[in-house]
Amino acid sequence: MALITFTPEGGKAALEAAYLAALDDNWDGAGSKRVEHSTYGYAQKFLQFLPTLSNNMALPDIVADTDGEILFEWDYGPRKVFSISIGRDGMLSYAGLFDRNKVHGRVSFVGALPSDILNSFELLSKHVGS
Amino acid sequence: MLAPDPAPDEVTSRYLRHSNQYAPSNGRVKPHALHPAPADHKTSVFRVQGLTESEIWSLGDEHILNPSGSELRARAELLVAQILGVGLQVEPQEPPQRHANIGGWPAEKDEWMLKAQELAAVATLRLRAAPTA
Repeated sequence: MALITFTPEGGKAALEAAYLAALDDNWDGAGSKRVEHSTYGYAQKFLQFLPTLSNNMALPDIVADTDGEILFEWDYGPRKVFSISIGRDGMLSYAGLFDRNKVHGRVSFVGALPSDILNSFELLSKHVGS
Repeated sequence: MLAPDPAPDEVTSRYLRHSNQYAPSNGRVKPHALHPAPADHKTSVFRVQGLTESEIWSLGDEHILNPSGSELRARAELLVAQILGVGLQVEPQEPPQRHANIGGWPAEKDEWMLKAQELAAVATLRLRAAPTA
């Protein structure tokens, strides 16, 4: 599977595209909620931490979710996937499937990446390529 | 004629309206393509048992609004048994004909994101053949 390596420029462009695509309610014609500016702000802050996690991280899918949150999804194949959804109040909902291991939870994002998220990235990196 | 209660071996189809919902390069349906809608917390599918490939695409074209205005290019196929296997339900809801919902999603987002990942792991990506010139 050809993955695009994460770069700050690539991440910023993907995030901006996701935000601009969902500025109004019903942006997808199926009743989805708009992405609020505060959500975009938290997503921008989150993006700044990604280069510090790994030198060869893949660029995640960055999309507006139907509930108005912004979703970062690393999909390396079946059961090698990690998703983080960012809410308008900075709440992070995360879930990961790493072979037989499952993680999920909700944590506040206040200036630094929560340890639960860091641990999940570590699990993901262990399973990628295995 | 479809049975009122979907059988475990029945096939359902989730039409994918955005190109970011799937990856042709590795045949993957992206987990977020299966997320429930905010309005009713359910994921819309169609029961396509007994239909030909052509009829399955026609069903989607008839009932699914594609934001790009072009015809649908992809769908995720899931057996009812696979949906039940991750602890979700298939709830027939007509009209339109053959429509159903995947329901039973947990209330908390982290929990339903995990369910969507489990569903995506077993989903089969079906791509529409390119039109011949």
